[in-house]
Amino acid sequence: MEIVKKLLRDRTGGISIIFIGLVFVLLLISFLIMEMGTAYENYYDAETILLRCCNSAVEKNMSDAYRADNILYLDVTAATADFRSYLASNMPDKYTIKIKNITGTGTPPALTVTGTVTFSTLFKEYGFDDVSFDFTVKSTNYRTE
Amino acid sequence: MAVVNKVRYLLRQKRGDEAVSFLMTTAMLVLIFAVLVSAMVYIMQYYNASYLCRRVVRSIEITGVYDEAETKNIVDKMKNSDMEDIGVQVDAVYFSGNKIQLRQTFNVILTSSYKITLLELGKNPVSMNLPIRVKVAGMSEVYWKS
Repeated sequence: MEIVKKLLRDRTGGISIIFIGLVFVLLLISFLIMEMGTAYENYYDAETILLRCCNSAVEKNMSDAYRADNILYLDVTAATADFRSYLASNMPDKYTIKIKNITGTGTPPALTVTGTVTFSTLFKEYGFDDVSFDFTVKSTNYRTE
Repeated sequence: MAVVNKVRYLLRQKRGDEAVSFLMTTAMLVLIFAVLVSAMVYIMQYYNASYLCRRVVRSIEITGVYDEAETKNIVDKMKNSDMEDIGVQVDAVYFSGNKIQLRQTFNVILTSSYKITLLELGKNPVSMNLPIRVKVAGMSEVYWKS
């Protein structure tokens, strides 16, 4: 007990401890900023894939028979099925997608998907929850050629 | 001899050792901080390059066409002065001309370099060129009729 008291009273080496503490804080801040950047990149990546799937599904299911007469028509049922198919094949496993609603209109051709994207961060190792974002992606098509 | 004795006496003295320790620690801290800041700036440049590359990829995805002039325009608008020798290479299987068919994948490779100044002595600063290379994959979202 006396030794501990003596060590606590001893001021020698105090600056080294402050130095180590400051370096630790600097590294912690850098780590937090980098992890936030990674979370934003993950969200951007997931949103891009969702947009791509939506645009591709609309583009593929535009009816050419109508388009020849400058009438734009979308097969909404097929577009919805294609969207789900593209999502299953293109979305990496690290993202969990929950689709709330898929709505579409034949004329004007449009497909809107709403839902939630969830992915984990390194903070999960320390007991934090996964990160979730709501998303809405919409695709329209006005090509008549 | 008197000088040697004086130096020995000074070296044996313990007074002010905390001040010396503080100065040396501060110098080390400043050095580490400078290295960390330089590393962060380089990482930021990497992020910028990555963002720029993704913008080029999105442009090609949405239009379904690799337009070299448009790509150069995007790069010129978005690049910053710290990035040098920016090069963009697109690897794709083309449907016809520069058109990429719906759901066809392609890669965009952006190369650049970032000049970091280590020492600035007069007109000839000591600098180092750090390479930046970003590869982003994309997929065409436009259907081209044959």
